Amino acid sequence: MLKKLTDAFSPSGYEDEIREIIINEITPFCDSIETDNMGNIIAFKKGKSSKKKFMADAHMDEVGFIVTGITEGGRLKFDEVGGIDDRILPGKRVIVGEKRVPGIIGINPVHLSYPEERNSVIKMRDMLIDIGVSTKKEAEMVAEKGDYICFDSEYKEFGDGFIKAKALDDRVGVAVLIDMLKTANPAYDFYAVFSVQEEIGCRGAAVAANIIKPDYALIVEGTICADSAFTPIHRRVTAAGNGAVFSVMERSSLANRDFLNFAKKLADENGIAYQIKRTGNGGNNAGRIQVAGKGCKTLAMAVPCRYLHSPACVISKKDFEAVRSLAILISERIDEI
Amino acid sequence: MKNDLQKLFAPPACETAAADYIENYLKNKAETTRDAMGSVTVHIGGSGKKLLLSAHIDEPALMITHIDENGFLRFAAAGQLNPIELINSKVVFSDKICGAVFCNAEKNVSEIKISDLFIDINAHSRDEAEKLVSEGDMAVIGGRSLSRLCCSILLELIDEIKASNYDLYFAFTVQKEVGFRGIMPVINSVMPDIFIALDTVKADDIPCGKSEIKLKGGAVIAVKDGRSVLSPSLVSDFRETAFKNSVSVQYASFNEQQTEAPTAQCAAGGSKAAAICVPVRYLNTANETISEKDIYAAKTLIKHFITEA
Repeated sequence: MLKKLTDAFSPSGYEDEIREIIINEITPFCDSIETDNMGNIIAFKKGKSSKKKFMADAHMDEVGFIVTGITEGGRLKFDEVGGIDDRILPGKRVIVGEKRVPGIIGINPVHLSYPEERNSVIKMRDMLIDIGVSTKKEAEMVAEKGDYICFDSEYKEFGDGFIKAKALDDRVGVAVLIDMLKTANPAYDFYAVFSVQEEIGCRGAAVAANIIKPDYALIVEGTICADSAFTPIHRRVTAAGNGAVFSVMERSSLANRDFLNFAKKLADENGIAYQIKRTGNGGNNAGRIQVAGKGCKTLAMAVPCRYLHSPACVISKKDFEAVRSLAILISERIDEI
Repeated sequence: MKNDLQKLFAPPACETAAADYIENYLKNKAETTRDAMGSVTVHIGGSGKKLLLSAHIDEPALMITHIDENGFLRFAAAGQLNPIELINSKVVFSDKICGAVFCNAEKNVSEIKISDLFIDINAHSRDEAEKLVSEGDMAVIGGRSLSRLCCSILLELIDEIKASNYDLYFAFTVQKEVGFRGIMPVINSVMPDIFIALDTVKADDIPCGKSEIKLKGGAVIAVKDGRSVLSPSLVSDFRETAFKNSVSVQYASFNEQQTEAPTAQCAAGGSKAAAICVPVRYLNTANETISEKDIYAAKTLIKHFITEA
């Protein structure tokens, strides 16, 4: 499932491919499915009680790029969609546009570079995508300005229970929500939102929350993981393999304390490992959801994900499983808060 | 002043004690509602346009992010905190456990960041510390916050106002310190025509300060708040009200958003928004300093505005 989800080509604003995969997957398990004007999927499953509304959110978009120009030599200029670190780009494989044209992000060869170039970060605007053609005319036959670009990176399992893929932020969340729809017997009326445009400012979820007006919202995310020797111990915000992450505070939201304590209690009772995110940085859809309409109680729960926003995000299956089982439990017992 | 309100523990998203205090204070006086985020709203009523007055109940805090093997704590800031001002401050957790903030980084003062600081709670191992606090816990500075003095002013106004020219609402909002969040659902519920934020603001009449806002200079009428221009007609109403009633006021323009007014201005159906502030020296430190004169000025100004304008 996660392979199919992470292989989809769906940067922010261009979520059609992933949306179709999700809808095909969840249709048999929902009471109704709606796609709103922004493109969010709002899947509804009736709960044991309709007294309150429980929403779960996972964003289905991913970071990517957009073509901003074509050079005389047939190479593509590009800009980011979502936050991407310039340092990781040189040499990476990408896929361009509807024709899914393969390309390589190229820079000036090391043999011809000056020492000061090698000692500084090359900016995105100084890189070009090589799609294997030699003229502007040839390039224009397969790509045009405004085409979306995605990392080209396949899903792979490796080591001791680790997964590498692009877009694990937030296709892990998408996979969790799909499983919630398939297997959970929700306590309250359950709205699973697969939201668009999170990576460019959490735009989709705000709209979906205003449509649903939930009482509780669980945001399922892939979050920052820094657990190598490069990072001083007190700044290792999460560690892969240590369980589900509760985000107590990030730039745009704070966890509702009752919801947080309830989730911790459920985890403790069921032997599910969890950790607290050791930073106030990062952001997710909770910020927009909690203040939509007349407000709601939110909790963001995440799978720690190394190398976020890169072609090779890495997660541990153990953490994924912890988030998955806890999310299902929360949806089934949210009425006990 | 209702001093016990200042001593409550109310970091962002942990404001229950302050919300309870306010609901309890207003019991038998007015009907209160508490929304999902925790803000308390009270509808006093009256005829005329809907006027919402708001003061926040939260205070900036330190969230524990890490407990090390020797029992020292690391933290992140919930709200705008200056690392230099935090050094050597006493901090207090919800169950009265105390600690103090220290810095041992070999750095120039201007380079010190929150991540260079740590809290000592007199625990000498991780085990000992974990018996007292957990990662994700909040601590407040000094154990007393003047952030909530504006709530006291609103409570007194509720007691004192007998008649007004407006349909009056009062809000006691959560999570202002972390980005003016609590006010948004309140605006969506109340949909006011006029909004007035009452808040504290940093008085900078100290050595090397700009002296734009002075302690004992009177109530601060904000003309511009961050990127928002506040309602010019309300500003002139306040100016007139202050002049007629000899209330001392000063004017200010904030480069960065300081109050909920800009957020309220364009939320829901939009409203005319103003902000009245009380100057506080050393805001958000353990040594916040205020003047009774400014508090009186702010309260009187709003009272006359509600009953006369």
